[in-house]
Amino acid sequence: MTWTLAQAASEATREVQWNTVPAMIWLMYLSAAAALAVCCYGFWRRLRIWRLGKPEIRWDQPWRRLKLVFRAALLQANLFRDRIAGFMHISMYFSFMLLLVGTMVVAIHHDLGIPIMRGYFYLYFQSLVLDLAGVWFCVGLIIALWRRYVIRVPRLEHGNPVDGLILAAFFVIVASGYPVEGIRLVVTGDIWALWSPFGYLTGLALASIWDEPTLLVIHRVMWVAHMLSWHVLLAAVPFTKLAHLVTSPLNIFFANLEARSIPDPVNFEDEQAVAVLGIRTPFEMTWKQLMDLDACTECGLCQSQCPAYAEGKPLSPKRVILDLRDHIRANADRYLAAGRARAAGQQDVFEQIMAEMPPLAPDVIKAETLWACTTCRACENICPVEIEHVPLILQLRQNLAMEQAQMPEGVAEAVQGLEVRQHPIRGATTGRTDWYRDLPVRVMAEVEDPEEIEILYWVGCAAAYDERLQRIARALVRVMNRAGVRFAVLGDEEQCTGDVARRTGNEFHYDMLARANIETLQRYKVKRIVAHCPHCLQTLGSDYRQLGGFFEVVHHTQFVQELIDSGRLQLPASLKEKITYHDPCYLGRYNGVFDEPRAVLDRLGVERVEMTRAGRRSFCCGAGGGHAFFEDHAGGKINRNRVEEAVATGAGTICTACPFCLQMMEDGLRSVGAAEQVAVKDFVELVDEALAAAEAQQEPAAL
Amino acid sequence: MGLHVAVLIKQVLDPEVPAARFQIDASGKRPAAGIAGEVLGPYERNALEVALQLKDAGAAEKVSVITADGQEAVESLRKALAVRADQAVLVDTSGHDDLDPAQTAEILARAVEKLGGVDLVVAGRQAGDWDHGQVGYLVAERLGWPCVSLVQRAELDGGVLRLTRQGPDGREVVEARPPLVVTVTNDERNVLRLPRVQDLMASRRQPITQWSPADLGLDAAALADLAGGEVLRLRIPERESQCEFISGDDPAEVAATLVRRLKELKLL
Repeated sequence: MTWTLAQAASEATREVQWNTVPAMIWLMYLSAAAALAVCCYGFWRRLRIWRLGKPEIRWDQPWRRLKLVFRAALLQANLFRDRIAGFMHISMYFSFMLLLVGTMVVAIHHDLGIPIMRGYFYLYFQSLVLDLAGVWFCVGLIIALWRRYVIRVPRLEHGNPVDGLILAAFFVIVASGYPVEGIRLVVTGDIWALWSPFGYLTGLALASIWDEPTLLVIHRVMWVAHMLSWHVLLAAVPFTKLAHLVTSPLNIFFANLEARSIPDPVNFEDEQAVAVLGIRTPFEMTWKQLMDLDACTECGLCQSQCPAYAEGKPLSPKRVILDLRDHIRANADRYLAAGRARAAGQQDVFEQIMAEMPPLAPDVIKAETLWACTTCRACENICPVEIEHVPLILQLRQNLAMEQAQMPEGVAEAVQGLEVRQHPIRGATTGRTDWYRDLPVRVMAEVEDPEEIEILYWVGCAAAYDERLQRIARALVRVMNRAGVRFAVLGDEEQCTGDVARRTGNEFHYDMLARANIETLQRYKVKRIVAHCPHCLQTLGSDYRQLGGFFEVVHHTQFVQELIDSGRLQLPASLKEKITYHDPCYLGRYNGVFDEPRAVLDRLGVERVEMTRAGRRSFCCGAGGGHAFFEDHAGGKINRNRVEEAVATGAGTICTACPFCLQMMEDGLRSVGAAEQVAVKDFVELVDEALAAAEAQQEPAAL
Repeated sequence: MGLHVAVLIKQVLDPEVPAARFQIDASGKRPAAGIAGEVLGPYERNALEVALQLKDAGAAEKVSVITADGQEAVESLRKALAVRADQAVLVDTSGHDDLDPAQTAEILARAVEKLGGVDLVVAGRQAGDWDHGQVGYLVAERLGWPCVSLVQRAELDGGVLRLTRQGPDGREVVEARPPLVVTVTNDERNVLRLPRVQDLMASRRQPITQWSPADLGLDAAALADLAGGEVLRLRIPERESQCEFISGDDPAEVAATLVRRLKELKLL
């Protein structure tokens, strides 16, 4: 018996197209061909739109890129950024893929006549695995429906009504698949029925209600429904969020592997390049930026992390992407016609068509939306498909600021300050060099042999001009002097790095400042730079590379850690405070520095408590993207939101490592009335305090 | 036919330089630049904006900007061109340092005449460095035109300029027919617009009309004769402040000590 069963099992298969008539088969092949044609046409239209964009090379390091796609698409590695949604997605994704493979097995077996659907493969895979896959798909589908229609997850809002139809089509596919299988199993008395347990159960249940002739009719109806709903879905792929089946892996392949979140530089010497500044129309976007719009899965993770959105400001990163996408799709014919005219050298026709198209900012994306962005990168950090929101927003700002001369008053004043005084701080009561008058600080211009200087300390405008923030610079100077660091500052030769200009779209002013600073730094053959300001760190260390300024720049948290590791600085573990560390966006998400400040704080002996949103998921203080310089009245206060979280940890001190964060935290504490109970200190102020306290203890002993 | 508006501007040392960094040069008669850059004077910015608004409204056909200064003032003239003034004129007064308001007004009035066809002269209420506040009025007197001072906004209505000005108890509206001189004070609606970057770049290539006082029929002697005053000495006032903390065990004791100290210092 065992032997015969095994022999029979090795022959196991099933009849394909059981209980069908030729008309059904014809319908299947015709509708499949039509669906495939529509699907291809839809993607071809997408492709033509992408080709309107400016060139950009995104295919270097192909193996690294393939690895990214493998991880993100095949292993779904990015999906666990939200566990429930991630489980929903991998359920539907993997089961869908299995079922798709199953369908192809049938096609190979039946249409190509290669008999692979047989034996144990048929039993284990084609019957059991696929039967279970259907159930797994249902689990995912139920979670999806639950999230969208029952608990109504906020980040899914502004959804497309079509999204519901997609889920309905999925439902029809699954709900018709089991009866089709089950009725065949029951009516043919298939001896392998138990290998398809859920299909068999469905068949038995139906057979208990209806007689065989009725079952045969139901089978045919369900067969057609199953087939047609799948074909409709296939045809709909490029026109709905399902497009992400194709566009998301593509977008991940073409991800930005370098220079994250910064716009491409503008060559102001090139008259063609400055004809339009920033992004005014889709033609100023790169093909990759256009692809980004189509890669969006509308999952809303970006929105769920956006500090501006959290405080009710008129910005949702998801909406920015989708509004641009919808605008371009709605006007695709006109943009494509303009593109054809341009390619044919008919500049007048191109301009005539484009004259009727509104500037993307502020007509499609409102100015207040663009100005609400703090450039914190939380959206890009969480996006599972590598969409780059920040450079897009910055380039739209560029068009507003430079071409339309529209910007918030505070930004305009900061930029005028940059023009006249090379710093953006309004109402400064001191000069750039006053803060170190009574400290042993050397100035580069007065150093005889610049070679002996190991570190250039980049002070930055905030700490040079603001009385509170000067304490950061003074503390760092004392710490470096204790460690015997041979450092110098640029003094009056230092100009703003241009961060505030760049992040507010004033690339022209950024360009001037950056070039001047690069020239100065190169003149002194500066080897290594230490900055306590993450914005200076980012600009000097990363942005300047685009303009040919290659400098090794480290943050003071990294540098102090280095001084400790090399034994030049001994830290006493004497600070018995409860401290929470706030990750500055430009230090953490932009430059990947999370561990050094924490490690040093731990050495100081503090009791360190983490906020819920920490590390990569840190919540912005609200100052980035030029927000330190203007009031953004819409919605609530981002710094207040953050400070409430910090206070809830019970820490007596909020430690941060960015002068702008420090200001924002202090303001925030005042606004929640906790300024008396909780202190805000820069990382190096704590280090300096601990060192000073240790010295004070030692001195009497030495006497 | 729209108006031809001439805006009188002055480039000054950045008024936002920290007070502690204000310096006087070796002559002891004028400020030294030190760390301060040079900027278009604050009220001249408002004056320029008033003129540009007339142009936007179709009331002005041409906006010319005039300054009497050294070559360094080309910078401010270019700023005016960048916000789309039509013409920039520099009367190069290099070699005639420390011009006083009377001399400046004579030069500017002659420049307005030489320009020709000017219907409206707009000046800032006072320059951001010396704050004399005389040039606008003196130009009006020299041209023989009426002058409306402290104007915030201007509109043209059927050949009549309707000027909103800051009065002691609110706003006054004055109607006047060109030719006319107005001096402008600041208002939230005449904050100078920002230039478009393309215009900023184009302004670097635009020509600047250059005249000398001699081109205006003024030789050095004639100019010297016009002088109405002379700066003898410029000083930074010295302020001394002392701080004394009053301590005590409780507020009542602190208050008592404070009163005693104030009486000792004969402040009470």
